[in-house]
Amino acid sequence: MNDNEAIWLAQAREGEKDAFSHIVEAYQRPVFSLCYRMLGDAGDAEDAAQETFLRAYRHLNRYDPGRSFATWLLSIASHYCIDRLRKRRLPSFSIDDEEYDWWQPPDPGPSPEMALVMDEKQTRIRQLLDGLAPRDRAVVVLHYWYEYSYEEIADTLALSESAVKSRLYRARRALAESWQLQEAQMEILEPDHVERIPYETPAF
Amino acid sequence: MRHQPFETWLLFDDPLTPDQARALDEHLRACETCRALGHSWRSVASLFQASPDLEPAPGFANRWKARLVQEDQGVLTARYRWQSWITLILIANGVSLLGMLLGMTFFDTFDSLTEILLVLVYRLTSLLTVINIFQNLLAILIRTIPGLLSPSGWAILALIVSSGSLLWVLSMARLARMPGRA
Repeated sequence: MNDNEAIWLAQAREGEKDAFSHIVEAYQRPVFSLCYRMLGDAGDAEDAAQETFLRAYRHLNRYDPGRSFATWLLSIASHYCIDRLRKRRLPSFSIDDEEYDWWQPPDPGPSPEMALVMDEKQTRIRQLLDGLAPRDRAVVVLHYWYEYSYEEIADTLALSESAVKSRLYRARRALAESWQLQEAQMEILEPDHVERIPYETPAF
Repeated sequence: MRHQPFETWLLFDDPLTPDQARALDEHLRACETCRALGHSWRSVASLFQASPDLEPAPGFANRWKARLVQEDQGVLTARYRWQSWITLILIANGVSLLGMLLGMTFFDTFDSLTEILLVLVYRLTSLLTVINIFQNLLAILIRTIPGLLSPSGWAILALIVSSGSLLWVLSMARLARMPGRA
């Protein structure tokens, strides 16, 4: 965190909304990206990222300045997305949905980044991550897109380091198996697809 | 064929000793399952590394501010609604309790319906008498007061009272417009 961010945080703690909106601008990208990787949908990611910043603003007094602010923020985002994924699996009616009925989610509209969402790579990543349990997905996202160490992931997700290691191992195995399945399906549909994937590494 | 510990070595980040690396290499030459697993995992990792961070649509911070304002208003409205209901319930309970106490006192004091009617007639007569006395007093005042001041004195008094009223109205309007007051 730089000096400006420390000042904005101090001002936001005093209740200045404008100061916190600078923080929102500074951290919107990592928070949105995490939410997108977790939820797999741009509209849901926007809503989750907004909710993350609202929760952070409301509970700013709980933030320990001795810790990394980014870790604290991503921890809120991760837990929110994990809860949301778990609720998604339940067929029950959500009270939360009705509570926020008065708020109409904005239409993000087309942008270069949104156009990227339509890209084949993004779709494939989403399909791979969809096969993981919510917490395992959070572990993978934090490790590969945020380059967090085991210790940082454990701190963010309130897990032990050994739990992080075993979840990462399990997730890698599941991802590799999903990849093999995708490859097999694609080979049935398009037998020559293998040559068209530039990021694929050669076999041993 | 046994795939452990080779699967673990393939999927963990921990560095391998030279002996482990040699054993893994030998196993991979012979085991197609582990070779496919390692290859798939490396493909997934390459795909992840090639995918950049995503950005929200422009105006994210402004949308956040708008949502915060709307949510604050929603919270305030809900709080006012609750406070109104609680006040209404408390008042209703108070009125009911008072009514019960008065009723109990009333019926404890009197023995029969005739006695209650007599007391009511007596109270009504007393009330009418008091009203009549006040009416007489008012008539005397109306006849006496105009003589206390000259017409110009009454004009000055009216001017002072109306100026005071105007000043009060303006002060209240200004206070109502001060920030922090709804």
